[in-house]
Amino acid sequence: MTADLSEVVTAAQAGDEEAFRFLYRSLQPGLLRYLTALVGADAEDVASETWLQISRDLPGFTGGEFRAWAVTIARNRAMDHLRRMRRRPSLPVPVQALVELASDADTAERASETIGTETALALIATLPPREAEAVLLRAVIGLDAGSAGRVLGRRAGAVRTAAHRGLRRLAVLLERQSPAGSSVGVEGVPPPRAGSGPALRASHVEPADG
Amino acid sequence: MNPFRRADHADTERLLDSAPAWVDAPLDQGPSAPPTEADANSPEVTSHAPPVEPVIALLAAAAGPVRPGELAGEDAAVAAFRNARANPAPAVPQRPRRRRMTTGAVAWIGAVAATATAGAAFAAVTRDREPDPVAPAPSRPSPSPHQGASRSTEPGRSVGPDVASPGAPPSVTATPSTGPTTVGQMHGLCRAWRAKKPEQREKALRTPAFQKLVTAAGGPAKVEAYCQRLVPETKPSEPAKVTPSAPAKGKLSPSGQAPPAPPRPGHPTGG
Repeated sequence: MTADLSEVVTAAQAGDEEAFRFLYRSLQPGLLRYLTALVGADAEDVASETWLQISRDLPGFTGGEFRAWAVTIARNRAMDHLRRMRRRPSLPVPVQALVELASDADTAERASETIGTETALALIATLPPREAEAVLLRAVIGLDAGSAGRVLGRRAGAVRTAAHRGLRRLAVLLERQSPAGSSVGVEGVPPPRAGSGPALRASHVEPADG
Repeated sequence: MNPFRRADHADTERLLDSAPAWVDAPLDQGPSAPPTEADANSPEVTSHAPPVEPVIALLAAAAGPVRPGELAGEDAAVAAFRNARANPAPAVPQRPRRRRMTTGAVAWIGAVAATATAGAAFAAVTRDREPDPVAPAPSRPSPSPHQGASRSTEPGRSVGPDVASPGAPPSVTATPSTGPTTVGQMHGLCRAWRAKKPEQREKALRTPAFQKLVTAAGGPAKVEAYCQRLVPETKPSEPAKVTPSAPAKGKLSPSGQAPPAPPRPGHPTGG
């Protein structure tokens, strides 16, 4: 995919509008999802700023992993935005989404059908920021650990560790959510909201690595 | 092979690698190819570690197909692209690199700038006397002025044909008739000196950069009166001449100290 993208990037650098459009379509969904975890509802604004800068700086792009380059721009714009907003770089736990998840994810088997993109992103956003970023860059943007590390200014190994911890945390979270995984045996009673809240919060408060 | 049982990250890496789906995978399909095999959900594994299946599903959903609205900004982005092509922005201005400089370097920049200012003003004054209206900007790039700094008593600039000796008799009361070159330099020195904060002016006069001014004025105590006569403070100075010195002054005024370091500023920021 990277090879294809580099050809497209070259075409876009030469002024090919369709090539740029392709880049946008390829990258924007992932960028937007990643940015949502960073800046919440302002993600679209930050994404717009990002594309503005991408189109301006594209002639200066000298090769390498284009997605990593673009994501770095997005992340810088997000950090600027957060500095302006002085907000925490994480999404508040979307209660509604979690309630839906709790009632929908009856079993682990059905989870694949029931978890929507939005819910999944909201759950990832409850992770400690480092882990959330690592998971999103790896799984949603599709960067390898090395590229993700360059975006985050960390080593590839650190990204792997953070992603691993994040996924494990998510696994525990999902297990608690689903009655099949835990010992909640009450029939007909969906997992109580009060139960899902603290569990999430506890996992969220857990310190990130190092 | 539940990746959460052990600290082996290879499995989670594979799991993560498989997730991005919206570009390649056909729409309406869930996790098309879970990387871990069917044994991932074998019961004895699940009892020890959280099941991996839900995580696979979650990652697949997170990387799921494009949702309506996610590409809403496409036209705006393309318009920005078109616009950027039409008017290529002047290369994005590099932010000035801020480096920590030692106090000594800062002080020496001060000395250099003061001398360079003097030189610029001097050149400007000299040029004023010429009829040529096209005056190139008198800014002097900082890499070169260390000559002037180290030898403030000897203006090595080619502009000065016959520099009045700095050892001029102290009794000279600084009438502008002393000669254009000296006066020009003193103009610059006075301006540089005035640009300093009042509490730093006295200290500045002890630095080599201002020795000429002190000498010309006839002593540190007389500098103020001397400069007042030479460059009346009320008179707005010509902007063209002051321009090159203005940023330097602003940057340097907070650091008036001049340690007795050797006069080798070179690239001052290199330190």
